[in-house]
Amino acid sequence: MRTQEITVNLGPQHPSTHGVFRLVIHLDGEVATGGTSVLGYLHRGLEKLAESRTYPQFIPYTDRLDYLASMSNNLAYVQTVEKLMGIEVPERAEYLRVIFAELQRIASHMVGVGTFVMDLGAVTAVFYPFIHREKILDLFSMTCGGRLTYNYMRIGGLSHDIPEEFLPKLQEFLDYMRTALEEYHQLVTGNEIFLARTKGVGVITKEMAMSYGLSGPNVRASGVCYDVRKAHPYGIYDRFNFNVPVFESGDTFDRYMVRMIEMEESVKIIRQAIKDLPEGPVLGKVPKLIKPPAGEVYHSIENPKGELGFYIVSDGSPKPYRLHIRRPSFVNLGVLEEIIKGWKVADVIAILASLDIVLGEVDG
Amino acid sequence: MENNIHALIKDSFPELEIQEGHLQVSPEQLAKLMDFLKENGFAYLHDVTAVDWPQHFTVVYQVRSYEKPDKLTVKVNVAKDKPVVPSMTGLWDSADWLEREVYDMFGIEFTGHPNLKRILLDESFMGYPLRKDFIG
Amino acid sequence: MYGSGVVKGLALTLKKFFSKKITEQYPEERPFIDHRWRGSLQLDKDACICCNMCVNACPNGVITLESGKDENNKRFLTRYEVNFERCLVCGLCVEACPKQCLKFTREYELATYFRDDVKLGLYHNPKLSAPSSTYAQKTEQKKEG
Ligand code: SF4
Ligand code: SF4
Repeated sequence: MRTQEITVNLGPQHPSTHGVFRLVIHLDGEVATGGTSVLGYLHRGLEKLAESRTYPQFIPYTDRLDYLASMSNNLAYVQTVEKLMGIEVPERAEYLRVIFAELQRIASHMVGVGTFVMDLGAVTAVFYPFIHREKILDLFSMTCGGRLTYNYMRIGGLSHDIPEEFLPKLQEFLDYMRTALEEYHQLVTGNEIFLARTKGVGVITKEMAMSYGLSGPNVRASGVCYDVRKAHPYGIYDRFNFNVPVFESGDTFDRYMVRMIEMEESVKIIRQAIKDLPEGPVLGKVPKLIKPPAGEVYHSIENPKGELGFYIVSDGSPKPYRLHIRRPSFVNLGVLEEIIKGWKVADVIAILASLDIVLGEVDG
Repeated sequence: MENNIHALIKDSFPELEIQEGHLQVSPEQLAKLMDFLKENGFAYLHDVTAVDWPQHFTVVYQVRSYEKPDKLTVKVNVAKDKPVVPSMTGLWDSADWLEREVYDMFGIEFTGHPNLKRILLDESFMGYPLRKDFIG
Repeated sequence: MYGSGVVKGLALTLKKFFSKKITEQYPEERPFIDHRWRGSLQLDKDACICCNMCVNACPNGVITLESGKDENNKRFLTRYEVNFERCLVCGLCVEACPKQCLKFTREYELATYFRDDVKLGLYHNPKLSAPSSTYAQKTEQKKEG
């Protein structure tokens, strides 16, 4: 029988690409022999936009990068500007920033694991994380009035203090999280079909992970213990006690597990932060007109998706001369073409989902 | 720790000066220096980007180590009329997309890159949007 | 035993099946909207001093404002338009307003049938009847809602 390789377009309008990502797959029967990623459908030129906006005006745009983790994007950006200008942040704001960044990590991982399991075909399993995430969004919206694009961090602090009912609600949520995660393990982690579909699939070896510059859960699933919160502590992360989960085999199952355990660790960090949360203002002394001195700065933080970095060159004017965003999803996605070789189409979808990308961030 | 690696670079490249973790090199030296850094634990090419200055472009590399807290910023100035730097794809795979992005936005060419095409913008796009003289 | 993982998961699903339902029956059931909600905008145009702070704070150039002067050299508004199409709903304008006359509302059903209706002409229709949000207001009074 004569067979022929066929080429299939996956996306850009396809739910399993988690946005508008196109993957041109070459198929031999049902097995992928290679692929080419086509990006840019959501490219808005944020780096160029930044050059015509003042420093505070760019904060809402960072929300639109990784729109499942707007809080962390805000944090990375404002910390970069603070580093450039040498602005002190009040203690209370620092603690609240940690609380919000970790809540955001949980929310982002919830979507990450939920959609991953859904892409394997288990539709039930996507609803549970979304229910849990909804509770986090409620906490966010009572504080800053938004559910997706928060625009909460400010250069020098935060835009609002938390409302009164926030801390009791947060406590309640943290207690709820324990049963929620247990339930999810019961529902998914032990499931034999899930294990058969994920164990050993889409392996990223340690060498590959390092060479492709992966970061975040993707690199920690491949046996590299690299977490910016530990390696280059920013903010007040050096005051907290937490573990960094590292798995060895680098398959889709390990990437899932890293995310699950990271959520537990985030809960731990939040508990410590609530215990030490001081009173005081949430916005420090900031000049009316934000005008950093000429110079440049690079700062990166541990986003839920990986290491998010901002590179700002200032010429002493109120607008950045150049602003570059090192987007973790963009770099992490680079490995995809390599690891889908030899897997069936259904597995390709799972591998893509296990990398947990967000197209707003890939395309910038 | 940091001084260790700084001293090591000083030994091998006596003509270079490290200022606050920044290292300025010439395009000719770049390949040799990066090779040396990769050998000495900088297994993580974190970021590649560029800045458009009035006189020249500066390509900025952030190199890091996964195991140790070492980090270093390497900068190369390239001429505006012929912006060419050697590609780092042979050393790090992450350079592939990162360099394509810089090529896409600034039109800086990376010699030795296996697939130097636009990545975010369409092939038919004219001009390089992050250059200061770009009119959209 | 092979298959016990699947059974455990199914047991959980069954348990949830008989527990309390959490789906909100929108639109019959109305959701609770937080006090600091960032919905649409409203303007108390008599309190506005035409200082242009909101215009300058906006990242997208959404707000257009025109003013005139009365006999006491006091400024008054003659036009105030918000091109809501391009608004990021970021709140920088509300935070910048020194008189707190520009506020968010707690509306959430903002879809319109016609594109022109998206634009807010706050001078002619200041929307003061809409429930206002406490976002960036110095005195945060709790309103029942
Ligand atoms: S909310 Fe933001 S984008 Fe909208 S008008 Fe106010 S400042 Fe402009
Ligand atoms: S900032 Fe407030 S007072 Fe000033 S022009 Fe705008 S709405 Fe009026």
